[in-house]
Amino acid sequence: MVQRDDLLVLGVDWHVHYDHSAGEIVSAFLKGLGNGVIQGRHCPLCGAVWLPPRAYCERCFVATDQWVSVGPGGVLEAFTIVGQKFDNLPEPPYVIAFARLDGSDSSLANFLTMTLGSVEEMAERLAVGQRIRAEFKPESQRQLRITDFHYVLA
Amino acid sequence: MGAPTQKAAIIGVGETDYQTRIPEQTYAELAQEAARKAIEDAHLSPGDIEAVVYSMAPTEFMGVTDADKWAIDAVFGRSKPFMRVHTGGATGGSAAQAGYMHVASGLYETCLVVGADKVSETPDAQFILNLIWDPFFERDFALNTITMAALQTVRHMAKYGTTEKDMAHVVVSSWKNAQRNPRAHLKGVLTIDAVLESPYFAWPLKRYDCCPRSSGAAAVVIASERVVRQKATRAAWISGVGGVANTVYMGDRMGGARDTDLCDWTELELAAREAYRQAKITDPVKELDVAEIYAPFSSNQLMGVAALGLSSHHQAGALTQEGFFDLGGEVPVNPSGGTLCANPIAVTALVRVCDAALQVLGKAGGYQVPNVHAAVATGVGGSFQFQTCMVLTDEPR
Repeated sequence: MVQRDDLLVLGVDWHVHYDHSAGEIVSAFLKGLGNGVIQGRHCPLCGAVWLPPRAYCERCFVATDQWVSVGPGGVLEAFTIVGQKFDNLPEPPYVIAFARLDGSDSSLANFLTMTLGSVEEMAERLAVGQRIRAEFKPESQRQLRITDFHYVLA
Repeated sequence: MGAPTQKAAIIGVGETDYQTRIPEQTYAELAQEAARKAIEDAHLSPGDIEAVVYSMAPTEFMGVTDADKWAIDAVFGRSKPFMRVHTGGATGGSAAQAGYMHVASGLYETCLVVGADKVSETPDAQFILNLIWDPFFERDFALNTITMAALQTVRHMAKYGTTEKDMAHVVVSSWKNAQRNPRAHLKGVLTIDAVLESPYFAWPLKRYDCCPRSSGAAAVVIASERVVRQKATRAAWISGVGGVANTVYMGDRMGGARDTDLCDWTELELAAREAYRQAKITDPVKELDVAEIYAPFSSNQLMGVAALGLSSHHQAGALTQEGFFDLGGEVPVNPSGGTLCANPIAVTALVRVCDAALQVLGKAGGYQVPNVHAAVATGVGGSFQFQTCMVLTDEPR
């Protein structure tokens, strides 16, 4: 593209704050994290335990009826090792994982912490189907957020 | 589901060139260029257009909230019914379907489907794409389009033995095809080794496995059979449409209760099944002459050909390496260069429709596939949760 000095641009920045309401179900889940517990919601019809927890089973169209503690063990269902620096995100490499915690029927995203190496070396040490474990931060550091725990290789 | 009350066809196609930035035009002027070209291509005037469907995905890329409003006058929408459609990357496919429904319902004789994007108006595109995720459970984990595609690709590799080399062949073929497309953003001679040696963005996806951020605009004019006969014009008949949505949670599509698998593109398989039924296609390999598959990452093309019934999931990589989907192959896929070579997000799926229509109309120029009777165009959006499929044919079906 030829640079043309007759064309102007207008620089604009957005700074916007939101307060997202977590609602009853998600609030209860996040408070559970403060106690080191990961809980899914159980469907009385199909028996599935959903994570993220839902007020309704979206397959059966009925209200979920109870909390079920899951994990801390689980199975790695998908992962990627990020090798590129993105703005506002950690220095690469780091691992994003989806894992199905024991007792649940869907997979939950989190970071997976492991010994660092090159992207290829780290890829060689990971496989779909591998056992993992959810590991919590020390109680004093928990913020009632999903980042209160992360995955490690079992 | 009911049946259409009249046949509908694409009789005009308009596109701009696709490139990183287009500083010569404002957003609205860019959309106007495509609208004007499509209306001229249809040998109509703006007054002949009865309704407008506007194709616009997240507006944060170009930084004007709900930018469709900005473009109404520019695309000749003033005093007409006007609606915006948005299904993420699939937006252009959904918009084309909405345009088709305007006409096929019998309520309108003509409809303009148009949109534009300036994805590079901000350097923070992946930050914006992270905002599509749930703030409580998923947004913290660096999910964006590249990482979500990588997660999906890892599953495909584990399930079907897909290799990075299979994926590299898709890239080399796309870039080669794009050399024949004057509007393509990226094009050129790439080697398998150059793709394999490019840096990892998110393993197993490397730089060249990923689509660019493009600016550009696209439009089609959809008209009733009555208008087509009056004008005695060539037409790409819309013979089948399908669209399927699924949960935003990728984890639901890989857990124990899954009924679809993230890496199978089951949503496209279902959408294609419906589109094929309407278009009376029973053997897609024999009956489809060309496919324009929305594959923003190389591995997505392997998922797409299988979902469209052009291959099994296991064979998609091997057939790709054998040239089955190349220009001159059994079913050419993305002769335009596809999404890997131009990705103006709000209209990328509409560009697939434009390119499929051009093939049916015999107007694809340097990347024309000979004797096209039937073409398919797809779109994918959100967390791979929206899929659209449209079959275009040279005769009404």
